[in-house]
Amino acid sequence: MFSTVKIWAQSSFGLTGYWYPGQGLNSLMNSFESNPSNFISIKDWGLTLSYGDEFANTSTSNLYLISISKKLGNHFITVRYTPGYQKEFVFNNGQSFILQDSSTQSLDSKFTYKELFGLGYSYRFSDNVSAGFSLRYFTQQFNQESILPVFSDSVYLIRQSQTEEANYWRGDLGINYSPTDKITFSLSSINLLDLNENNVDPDIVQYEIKRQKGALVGISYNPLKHLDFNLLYETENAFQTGFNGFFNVFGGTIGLGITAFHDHYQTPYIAGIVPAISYSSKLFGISLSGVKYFSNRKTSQLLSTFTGEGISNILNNKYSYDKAVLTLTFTLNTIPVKTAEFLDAKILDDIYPILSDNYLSKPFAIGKVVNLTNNFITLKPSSKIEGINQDKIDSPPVKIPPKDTVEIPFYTIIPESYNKTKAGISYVDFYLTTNENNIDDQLQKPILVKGINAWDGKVIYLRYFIKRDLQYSMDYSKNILSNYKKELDTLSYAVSIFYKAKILFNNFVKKLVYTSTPRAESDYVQFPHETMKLKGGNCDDLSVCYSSLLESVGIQTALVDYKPVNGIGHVNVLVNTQLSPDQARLITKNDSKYFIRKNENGIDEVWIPIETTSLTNFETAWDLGAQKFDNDALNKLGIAKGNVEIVDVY
Amino acid sequence: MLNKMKNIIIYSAIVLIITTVFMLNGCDNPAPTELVQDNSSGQNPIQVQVISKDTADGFYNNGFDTTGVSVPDTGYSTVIYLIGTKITYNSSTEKISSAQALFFNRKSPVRGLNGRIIGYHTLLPGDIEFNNYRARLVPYRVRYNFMGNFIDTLLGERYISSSSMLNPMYRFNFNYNSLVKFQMLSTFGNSIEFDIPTPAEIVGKVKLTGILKNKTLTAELDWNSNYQKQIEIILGVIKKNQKNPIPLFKFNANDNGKLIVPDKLLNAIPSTKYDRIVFSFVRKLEESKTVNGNNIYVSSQSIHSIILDIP
Repeated sequence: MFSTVKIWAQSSFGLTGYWYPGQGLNSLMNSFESNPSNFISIKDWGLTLSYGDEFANTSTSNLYLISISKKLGNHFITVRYTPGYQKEFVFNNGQSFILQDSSTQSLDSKFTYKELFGLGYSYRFSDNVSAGFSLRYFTQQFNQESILPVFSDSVYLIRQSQTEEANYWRGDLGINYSPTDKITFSLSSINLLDLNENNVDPDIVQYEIKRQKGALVGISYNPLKHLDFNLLYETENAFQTGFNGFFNVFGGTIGLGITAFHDHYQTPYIAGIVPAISYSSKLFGISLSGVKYFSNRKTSQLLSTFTGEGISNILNNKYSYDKAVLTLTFTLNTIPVKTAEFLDAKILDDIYPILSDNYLSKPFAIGKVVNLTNNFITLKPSSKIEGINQDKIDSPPVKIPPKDTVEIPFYTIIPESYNKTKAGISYVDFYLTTNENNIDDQLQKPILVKGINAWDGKVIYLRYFIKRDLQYSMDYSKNILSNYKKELDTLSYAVSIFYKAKILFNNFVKKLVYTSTPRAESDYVQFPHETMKLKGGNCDDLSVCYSSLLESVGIQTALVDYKPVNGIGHVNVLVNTQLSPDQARLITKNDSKYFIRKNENGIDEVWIPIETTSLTNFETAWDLGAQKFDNDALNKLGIAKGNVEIVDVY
Repeated sequence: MLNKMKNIIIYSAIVLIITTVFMLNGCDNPAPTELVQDNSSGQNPIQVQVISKDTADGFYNNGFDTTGVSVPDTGYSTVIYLIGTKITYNSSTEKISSAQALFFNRKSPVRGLNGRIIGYHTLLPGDIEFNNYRARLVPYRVRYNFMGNFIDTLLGERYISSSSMLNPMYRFNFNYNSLVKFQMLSTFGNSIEFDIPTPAEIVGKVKLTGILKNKTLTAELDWNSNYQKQIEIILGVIKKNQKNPIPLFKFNANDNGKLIVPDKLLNAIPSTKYDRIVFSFVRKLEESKTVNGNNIYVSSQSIHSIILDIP
């Protein structure tokens, strides 16, 4: 099929002029002529139609080009069909014959040159380097009429038409490099690969398209964001130069360009210009361009000139006419467009499942996110922790300015049913979403999920242990208090809370043994039912358990956080007796054994400190608690200095 | 997701419709460029005409033969021919000069057996002289084909002055690129006298290459160009074992001295039937004039016929 391999050249020329291919205008794709390496910037699919009108003696319109482009990752593929890329020459071949009626018929020749279709492929190695190739198929038909005499009973002449074909493939390689945002270089071959499908008659060879081997060097410089200067030089002593300007309007981009070209085979020195205007939006692009030659393009030219020089380009040669070309491009994006992406995500702390409510208001991670677009976007961040969340947990939406980088907080929800006691490494998936369907970016990070008993040492968070077992505590407390119903019924209502606290403590301590373990920053805390079951615990466990028993029957409590001194901290319980300071004498005459706090209405109430680790009786525990509170919190100004903190359970 | 799919389908449908409209309206071809022949194109335009439709007919129904002594019907009542002929074969050249005058009685057509007019009876108005050389009278016959038979018919007599190497009795000659005085000494009416210009002599050359059997025969013709209008070249063939040529085609070409005969014309000649080929180069001057109410057609020709064995 391919009988010979020849290396020749053909000059480059595009119907839309020369535009910087990386500009991203989707109405200017697929110009293998000036862009043999298929350097394009589509996001998914692109369909281009070029419809043109040629101004010879009469105006003829036809479809110049239809092409489809597709991006697959970093691979870019373009296939194009070019029915209008053709040039036809007709001439009388010098022979004629006289018919019987003395009329004369001339014999004509018709040479037709076509570029039928092409394939382009490129690979983007990085943001600033890409390389590719294009393969194009050309046909050349040389149709010549001749006279053929037929000898039978009589002699007569018949007109015979004979067509020689000289079809060939042209392949070129190219590379594009952008060292900076402002400049791009391109280097491509011209007619690097030239495969002839068939041999032609030696008399015809002179009429084939001249295909000298050469190179194409391009440079695009954009000193301003919306302005490019371009120069494309061919080693066959031809060049194109021009500029493109861009304006963002109507949600799209208007591009204006003008290209002047010099061709070795044409006159004057600047053979013509190609002005173009285009509009590109997200879904489509439209461009109107024209080719204006500065020399007179007659429809009749000398055969001797054609025979001597031939042509080297189908679209642009000394016989080409002025043209107007309308190009439509449609882009279809089935791939989600990334409008934002993670730069990083930072896990703020290990996950303590018991602190479930805390995670609703306090982020467990911070993501660093950049807006990739030139517009404001509203991001919906979400996350999903494996083993904890069944679904993605949305965090509040965030509005990000164009090209800005922000930190986004991620919140989560720990289901109440979570009850794993052992810690383990899990993973959290972070998501960025700009609409309901498409995830712009996602990121996965490992995260340590603690057991349900894990506690970070902050007394304020002991409340979660208190609340979680509230039902157990309620059952337990009510059961005990029901045994003391008669006694409680005889008491005045004012002291009933005090006595309930006392009864519950005395019953509570009977079953327990204190286990002294110095409270560290991170610890393990037992739920009340575990403390009761294990019959013991440390100050955290006992305070949690006692507080839970009281809270479950409506007695307000607070935890007293004696912050670590020499690494050892302590916690015990404050009980709100709801007595007024005047009523305090109903329970004690020692005013150092209670503490006055204002309630939410601003009314003073009597609170008593209980040392839950004193597993003797209520009075002793109260005394011990009062002494420690009086000493550490008041006398030593612990509260004022922050060494002692009172943490309300509710 | 459903909405997005719906949008994609609608968008694709719109694109498809627009594409179809474009393709249906884009079926024109770009305008062709017409190339015109010019002097420097290197090609000599030629016009080809079939002469002998019937190759079995040695004579020239169209009024031609390869010796140039044919008398085509011009439609005039008086025709005068001055013909200088050279016939070259096997490196030898025979020269013949002739002058003839025919006076037709247009009111007396002669029809063949097929009913067609084959000519007109001739008249003899008086004595004819060319350069004071008196012409003799000879029978004027035409031959035509009727149902496969060749029939000779006598139409009268014509005036002829000629020279022939074979017959020393006939010594008429005239100069090329010169003038020949014509005189008609009328028996009944006014005599007529005028000069007939003669063309420059033509000398041809033929170069045959290739082999007819292999369909590779080519013929390159050269002649002394005179750049005056056009010349005629008649291509004829001679059957094996026969003498008379059969004219096949006439080429009209510019008188620029060179012509390449279209290969297809040459190679279509049946190689088994003919063994010689004849090229006759004809340079002629023609004029018509009215003298004493007579429409006279005058033609002076230089003819060089070259006979070659077909390779």
